[in-house]
Order: sequence, then structure tokens, then C-alpha cells
Amino acid sequence: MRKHHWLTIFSFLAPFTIVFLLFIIAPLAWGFYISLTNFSLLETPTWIGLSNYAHALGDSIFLKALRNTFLYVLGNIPLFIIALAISLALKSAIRGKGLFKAIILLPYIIPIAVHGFVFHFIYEPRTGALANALMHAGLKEMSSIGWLTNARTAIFAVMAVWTYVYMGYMMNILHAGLQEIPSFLYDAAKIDGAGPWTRLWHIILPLLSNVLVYVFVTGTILSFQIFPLVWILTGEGFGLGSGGPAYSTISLDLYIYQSAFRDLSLGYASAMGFIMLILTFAISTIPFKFLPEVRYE
Amino acid sequence: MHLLKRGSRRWAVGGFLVLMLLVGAGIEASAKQVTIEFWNGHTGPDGKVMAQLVGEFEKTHPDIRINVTTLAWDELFTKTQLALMNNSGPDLVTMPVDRLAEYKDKLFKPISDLIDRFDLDTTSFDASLWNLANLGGKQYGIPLDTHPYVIYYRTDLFKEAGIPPLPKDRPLTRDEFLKITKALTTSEHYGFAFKQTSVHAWWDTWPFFLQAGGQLYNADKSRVLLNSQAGIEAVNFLKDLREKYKVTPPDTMSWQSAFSLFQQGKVAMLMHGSWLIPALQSSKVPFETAMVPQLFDKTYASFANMHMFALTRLNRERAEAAMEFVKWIEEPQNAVKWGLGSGNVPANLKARAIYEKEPLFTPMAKTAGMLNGRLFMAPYRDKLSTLIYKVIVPGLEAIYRGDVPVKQGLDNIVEEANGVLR
Repeated sequence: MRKHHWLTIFSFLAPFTIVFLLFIIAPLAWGFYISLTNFSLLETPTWIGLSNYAHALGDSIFLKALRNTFLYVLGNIPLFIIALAISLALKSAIRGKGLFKAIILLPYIIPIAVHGFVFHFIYEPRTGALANALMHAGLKEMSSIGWLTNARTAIFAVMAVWTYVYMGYMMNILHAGLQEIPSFLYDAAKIDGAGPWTRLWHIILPLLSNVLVYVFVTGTILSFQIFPLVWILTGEGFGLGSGGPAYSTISLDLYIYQSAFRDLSLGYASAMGFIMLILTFAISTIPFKFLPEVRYE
Repeated sequence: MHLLKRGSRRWAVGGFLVLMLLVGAGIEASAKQVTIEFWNGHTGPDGKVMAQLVGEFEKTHPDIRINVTTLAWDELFTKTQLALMNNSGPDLVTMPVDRLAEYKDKLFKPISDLIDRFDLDTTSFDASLWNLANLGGKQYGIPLDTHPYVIYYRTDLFKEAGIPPLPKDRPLTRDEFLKITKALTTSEHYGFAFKQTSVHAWWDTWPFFLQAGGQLYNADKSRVLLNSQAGIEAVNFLKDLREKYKVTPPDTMSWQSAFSLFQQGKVAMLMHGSWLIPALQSSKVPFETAMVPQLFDKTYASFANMHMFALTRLNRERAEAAMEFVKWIEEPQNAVKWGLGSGNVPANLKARAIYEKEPLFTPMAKTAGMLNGRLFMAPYRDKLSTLIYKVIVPGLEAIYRGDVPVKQGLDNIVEEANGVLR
């Protein structure tokens, strides 16, 4: 009977376990092994121990990529604030909610490559849509700024597109979370004389804690995958030199790709991949540790 | 009822036999037909021309079917490497010759035996291009075309400024070029634009680096010599166009910016590859072509690369079928279709002679004739992508942005590049 019981459990777990081992654990183990070797894809890997990891710590491009990736993660803060503001406005809206939600979700549905190409034209100095708008606004000097070719502005130009694309996604999640907060809590707070800010700090944000954790974790993971947007926006020509100007927009995932398939340094790319995995995991656990879960009963 | 049934059975048996015959014939036909995988990076209008030529070939060669896969160039190499690891992937590719040193033997195999067996007339090709596909005494490919940089200029702005059309058979001198760019620079438009970002920054610098007598490597290709006097002069001249002569827009020009300004009539002249012709022809921009100016007296040079056919030789039969296609496309009447359709200069000399007669293409053909094998990044070696995209391009961008003085910027590039080569 007991043996039969274990067999049942195993048979239920087996499909997932096999897939998990084959497609997650095995590649991960292989990737870790590769990260300890010198490997150029078409030749046999040669063991070099932790050299790739040591090299990463002294590689200025890797450090810039790391810094930029953190900036992209931090870019989620304005994204979150704007998305929350819109979802709050939407909550109190009387008509046209569905239509507005659909419109604002549209950029998220459109492939990111399309946004990359469109914004490339929007950002064109002198001839782009943004330049024209600035010209009409009387800011002629600013109309000649190459938003993507200036090392000081390029990362913000990328982050603006990122915010635009993921706004609808974040807003929809936050809006769904807001709908879950019972309206009697607002009513009670209003009776007690709580203003909008008090309601935000003491009711909305605490009761959205679970949603906030989800938004933070997915936002962080998405920011670590910003590669296609940077590739298209800054990778004029063949994309192999994307991440400029002066590596000011290069992200960790982009540098990993370039190291692997442009520089044919798969061992080094794997080592950076492992560092990125650890960082993503570490950052993603922050909200679980520090954001208390609030329930309403 | 019974009779009817017997009749139906006969029909069924008859039908079955006919079907079997048809299937058999089909199997026999498909057994004779060879399907080859042809991967290329012709993602622009040149891709349409190639697809058209493949279609024509298939019509006249029913025994060969060609599956064409078009990818961005860098993706082509990545995917080819991954596919070949599993013994699949392309039988035939077109590739830029500068990548050959990196992938020879690993991806692409020598083909001298096939050239002999197919009796390919090697003398019908531009010898300097043919030789570029020969590394270490082994022939790895067959040249398809070369695609040099030329000047594209707006005929309307030239007329407006009272400047006659540029010569097609010779480059402008430095003085002529400066005089014309100054005359074309008004409050409405600039005389010229050069690109200062991405790989275009290097492509735009390359012709003048060579013209000033620059050599990219030392004799054994172990060190980069970009910080030579030639490098300094070439970069300084381009910077002067913007800062001293003020004949180019003052902004950091990307390819997209420069081309947009050209299309809108805000820039009169632009330097770019022959592959731009189809796009300009389908636009409403009134344009003409001329050779890249000769700014330095050491030698004449322009930017140019070369497309070549290379074979992976995964399978003997498919390699032979691929070679059949290559031989066909290199026939003058087909090679000229490729040239006129893609804008690129055919490697086949008879096709080139026809191509050159078209006035729009004359400067490209003349340039190809004068380059004599001095193509982009030649002489070739491995790690080129790393060298170009990780070192040279960011370094030049910094110089053109004004972040670093010319000499110091070039020294930085050389130091990093030598690190890569080591």
C-alpha cells in the first residue's frame, strides 16, 4: 500500500521533474561548466577555472553594463509611479475605462522591435517627431539633440521607451489590485477625515503589498531582459555595436550576447550569465524580505 | 447491387493502381531532385533580386530546388555555427569576405576541387577579388560582387547652386571637393554629411585612412597601426569638415540622421555603399552618383567589401548542386541582373562591362577597378567583429563626439585593439 502510494506520487511528479531536469537543471549545469572554460563554440572547451569570473570584475564594459542594468531596474520606479497614478485615476473614472485600458495596453501588445524602429525615427535630431515638437514649442536648440547619439541622454531615451511599452502592463496589474480593495475601507477612512495622501499611504499601498511584490519582481526580471530594445534603438547597422554611445546604454544581457556570438567567448558570456542569474535572484528576493504582507479580513 | 459493387471494386482497384503509379513517379522525381539550403544576408532590395534569380534557376534546373533563408549578417553566422554543430544548416551561403578568416575551415570548406570539376573559368572574374577568397593557398569561395562607397548627390541642390554634374570617371580632388561643399552650404542646407556613429563611423573613415597611406596592421598582423600619421590626417580632415569648414551638420550624425537629411534636401552630398541605389531609385529623391573624392595623394581608395559564395560541404550531392547554382548565377547575363538590381558591382568582368555602361553605375565600376583588392579590413584576420565593434567603433565615436583629442583617441583604440589581437 505504502509502495503504491510513492509510485503514485512519483508518477504525478515525473513529467514535470523530467522536463525540469532536462530543460532547466541540465543546461544550467552545462552553462556553469562552460563558464569555467575557454570556449569559442566551434572548438573544444578548455578548463580555466574561475578566470572568466575574475576577468568580469576587471572588465570596464561589464561594469558599465552592470551599472546600466541597475539603472534600468531603477527605471521601474517612475514606471510604477505613473502606472499607479493612472490606475488610481482610472478607478475613480466613470466612463470609458475599458477603452482607456485597451489603448494604454496597446504598446505592450505591439512587438518591442516595432517600438524600437518607431522611436528611432521619433528621436531623430532635426527631422524626428520629437525634434519637430520641440521646434514648435520654441525650443529650437533642443531640436538638434541626438537623443540616442548623446552619451548623456541615450539611457534616458531608452528608459522612456521602456516606460511607454510597459505602462499598460503595470497599470493593468495595479488596477486589478486596486479593484480588490474593499470600498468600505475608503468610506471608513473618508468618514474619519483621511485625505487622498493618507488613504494612499495607509490603505492603498499596504493593501496592494502582494501586487507590489509581483510588480517589483516581474519589473526587475523584465529590466534584466531589455536587450532587444537597446539592440534596435542603439544598434544602427548590424546591431553588433549596440549599447552605445560609449557603452552608455549597454545592458548585461546585451553584453552577454555580444561576448558569446560576436566575440565568440562563450565561456566568458556564461560566467557573466551566472553573475546575472545571482543578481536577478538576489534583487528579486528583496521585496519578499522587506515588504510585509498585509491582508484584510 | 452485386454488379454495382463489382464495378466499384474495379474502379477502386484501377484508381489505386493509378495512384501508386503517380506516387511512384513522384518518388522517382523527388529522388532525382536535390534540395539545397541557401542562407544569405541580403535583407534589403538585393534579397528580392536574389530570390528572383533563384526562381529563374529553378525553372531551368528542375532537378535542383533551393530553399532560401535570409538573415541579418551577424545572425547568419551565429545560426550557421549552431546548425553545423548538429550537422544541419546551409549548404551554400553568401557572406562578406572580411569574415572569411574567422570562419574558414570551421564553417566554410575549400572548394578548389569543385571549381575544377565544374570547369569554372576563373579568369572571367576580377582577379583581385578572386584572390581575396584564397587564404593560405586554399580557395574558399567564389566572388559575387564588390560594393564600394560612392558619393550620392542631390541634382536639384547642385542645379540651384549652379554646379555642373560631377565627373563619373574620376574622383574629385581635395580642392574641388571643398569648393563644392562650401558652395552647397547655405542657411537651408549643408554641402556634405559624414556618419560619426556605429560601424558607419569606421566605414566613412576607412577610405581616407587608406588614401593617406594608412596600413591597418603591421607585417605579421599582430598589431594595429591606426594611430599612424594617416589615421590622424584622415580623422582630422573629417572633423575639420564639421568644425573648421562647417560644411556638415554640427550634430553627431548617425546613418539614419544623415540619410534623413539627404532625403529631405537638407544635405547635398552623402557617402555610402552601392547597395543604396535601389532604395534611392524607388524614392523621389533626384540624385546622381560620383566617385568618393581623393583627399590624400598617396593612393586612391574607397570603402568596399565583397560578397562571395561559400560552401559548408555537409553533403557531396548538395554541394555539387550548390556549385551548379553558383556557376549559373556567375554567367554574365545573370551576374549583370544581380549587379543592376542590387546596385553592387559584379565580380564577373563581362557582367561588369555591361553594368559600367549604365551612367548611374559607372562610378561604382570605376572605383572597383581602382581598388585592386584593398577592401575593407584587408588583409584579413580573425577577431574582426570584436576589433571593429568593441574597439574601433566606440573609439572613433568618442573622437567624433569630441570626448577625446584625435591622437589620444587613436592611441586608445590601438592599445585596446592590440590587446584583442594578443
